[in-house]
Amino acid sequence: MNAQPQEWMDIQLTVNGERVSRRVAVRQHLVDFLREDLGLTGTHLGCEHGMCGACTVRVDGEIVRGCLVLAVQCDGAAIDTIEGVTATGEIATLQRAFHERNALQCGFCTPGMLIAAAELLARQPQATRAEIREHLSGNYCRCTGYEAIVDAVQTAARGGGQRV
Amino acid sequence: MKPPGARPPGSGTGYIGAALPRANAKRLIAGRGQYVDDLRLARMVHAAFLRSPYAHARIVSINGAEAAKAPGVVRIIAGAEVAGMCEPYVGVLTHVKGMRSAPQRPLAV
Repeated sequence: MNAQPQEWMDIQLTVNGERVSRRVAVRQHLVDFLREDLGLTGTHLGCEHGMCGACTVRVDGEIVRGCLVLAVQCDGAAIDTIEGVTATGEIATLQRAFHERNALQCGFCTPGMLIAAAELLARQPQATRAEIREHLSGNYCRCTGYEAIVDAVQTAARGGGQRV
Repeated sequence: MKPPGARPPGSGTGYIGAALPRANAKRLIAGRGQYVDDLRLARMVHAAFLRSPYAHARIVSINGAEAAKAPGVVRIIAGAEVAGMCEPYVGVLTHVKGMRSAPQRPLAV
């Protein structure tokens, strides 16, 4: 055992399909790594204690709170952020539904909402309204409530198919 | 359920109940919005506010000497110093003549 705790660590991971190597502080959150070290500011930091869902990103295909995961825990992992899933067109149907239903005001919660909703629709393309509400219950919107958001996700669910 | 006499969404001139897509929402949906926390300026530093644990009390003294020694700390600024840089504001209600708040400072003095 080291007498001094290790403060820095080298990590290698894949972010939005690109290989990334960085030296990071072992105490740094994944969301801070994405935002500050990689400039991917589409992922937002709301509450910083796992309540609001604004920092939702995908790690190896599963959604996580970017504020509750350390960057060093993602050594070797594949991360997808809103920038990545936008560029690939993977969530284009969902994004179109959010736009058409105007399911956002300030947009701060929206990237996290989209990433969370995309996971649900990938697993359950025909998700019901109750299932959508349950799945998004960990993502807070402080502008306007959830009616339009649930409507948009439901529209995308009916649009169906693999490309949500 | 609709209240009696309500128009269907989007009918007539009523916007109420209708979804109104906004062109500028597209960048927000793509994660390309820019919020204050996204700004990175040259030589930017951050402020941390340390508030009193007491809701209503008199400040006897503030000693930031130890905190100032912490690595990365640029400066400790207390309320009395801020008061010299920034005029207090006074809240008024134009339709309630004579109603004025006490002078309000950014930090307690």
